Amino acid sequence: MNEVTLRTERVSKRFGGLVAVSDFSLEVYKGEILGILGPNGAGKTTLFNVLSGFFRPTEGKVFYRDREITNLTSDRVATLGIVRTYQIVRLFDKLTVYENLLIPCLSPRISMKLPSKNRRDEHIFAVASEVGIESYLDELTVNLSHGVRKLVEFARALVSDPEVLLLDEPFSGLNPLEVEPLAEVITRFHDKGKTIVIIEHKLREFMKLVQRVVAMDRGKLIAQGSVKEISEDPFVIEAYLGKGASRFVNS
Amino acid sequence: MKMKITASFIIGLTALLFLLPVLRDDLYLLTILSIALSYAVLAASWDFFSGFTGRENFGVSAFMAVGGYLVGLVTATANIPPLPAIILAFLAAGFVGFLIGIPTLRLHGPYFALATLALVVIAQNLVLAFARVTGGEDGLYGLPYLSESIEGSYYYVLVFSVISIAILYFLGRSNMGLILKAIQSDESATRSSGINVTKYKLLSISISAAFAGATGALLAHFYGYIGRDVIFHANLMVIIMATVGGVGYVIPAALGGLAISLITEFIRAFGDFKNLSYTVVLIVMVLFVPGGLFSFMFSNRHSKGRRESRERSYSKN
Repeated sequence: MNEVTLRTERVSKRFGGLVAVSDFSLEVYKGEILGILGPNGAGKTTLFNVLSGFFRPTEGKVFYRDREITNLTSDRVATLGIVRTYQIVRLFDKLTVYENLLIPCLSPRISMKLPSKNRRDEHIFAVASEVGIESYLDELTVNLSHGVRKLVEFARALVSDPEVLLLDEPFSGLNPLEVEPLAEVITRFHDKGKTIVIIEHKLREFMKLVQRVVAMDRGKLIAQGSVKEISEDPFVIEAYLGKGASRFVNS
Repeated sequence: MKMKITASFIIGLTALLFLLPVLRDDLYLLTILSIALSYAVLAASWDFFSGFTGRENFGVSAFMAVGGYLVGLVTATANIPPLPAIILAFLAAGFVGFLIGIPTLRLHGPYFALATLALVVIAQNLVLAFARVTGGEDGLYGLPYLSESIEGSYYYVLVFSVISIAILYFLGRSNMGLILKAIQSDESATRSSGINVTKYKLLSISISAAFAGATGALLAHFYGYIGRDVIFHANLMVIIMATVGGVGYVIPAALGGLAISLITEFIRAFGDFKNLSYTVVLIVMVLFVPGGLFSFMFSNRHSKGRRESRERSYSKN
């Protein structure tokens, strides 16, 4: 539990005058489920973009298993086993669910492990069954409901057999009936010893799931600890409810 | 079932094209068909890059020019027969496509289209600037013909077209084609699936440019002449042909190239009304069959073929 797998060292990302992430040092431990909490605009997604290689940080470094990955392109980062999902579902809408899941199989990471088409198909079917979308395999993703699309995107990330899974608001837009099965799949994936980082701005959604929470506001790390510690932290409460709010909440 | 009908139609059409010189002794028809077949390859090669990745390439002529003028240059200095010249043109244009792709493929939408359109303008000016080697406005005459007879040239073009379109079609149906379509849908998501998007885009534009260049060389040998009219007239035509035929499956685009070339020849009879009737035909097609005239033969191509083999592989377990 104490082995650090993914780490940022004083990372900043600026867009012109806007500082989206500021002097941010984060350590993700192997095998944990880490939650990143923060109000809208706190810089959570920007942090994900830096971790997954979509943005190069303005300052600072990113390490994965003691290897610096700051300047790697996003496909190289994914090839190392750090795979992400998106806040707004991004699927290949002209392709079927099966084809969506086939794409990561063609990456160097998976195609080397599963060279034959039959083994790839077995892998895809296994992941699709695990997530519960096996009956949709031949549907075009554009025709699916939002809930199923979320699941397909999640399955596509799982097909890459990630070591670290970065989930950007996996529960947004899901109804309560859809939240439960997805949380179960995430837990099962975690039970295999994998590391998961989840972004949420609603604490309740992932309270049951995460083991540790890092709270962000305006690009900065404002608190970290267990879910209970975070939910009572005066800085976090202020970030959500405004200055002085912690007095009322704690009383 | 649909695929069987489509396959029989394609095979039947190819067989008919091969038998045509035996069935009808019409040299005029063979000449038109040779040109139409060349355009079919151009439309197919355009589709393989633009139709698959969704980046409209307005620079087909620039790649054709590389092939066509290369033939003009090498046959002026050395006595090289058509086949090696065409292969050389294929490689050279592919390399130019690769070089052009490196800076331009970062651009999206209209910016990529404009960059490639600028390429054609540059190519046109280069042809004029180096008039001593390219023949400038007059072009270069006296290049070796593909064959001594029109029938021979026709068969040459036909074999070239069938092979080229088949290669592009099978590449399009391969995993590479699927990755290109994923890139078109969402480039970032393709990257986060661990795919080296840049590599595939460069590969695709190089292959597309190589076939355009080879066709430019083929046309130069077919006419025994290379000039601005042969090359630059084709630029927009090719895009229209591929779009009207239908993009994303190679063969519909090729059929579009064949059909529009023949229609263009047919409406020559309308004289002054030629352009008007041509435009009317295009507008009607775009309005009523926006997906392309021939795409219906191929819809869901990728998944259907795979579904059957997948079910076979599950039933084994």
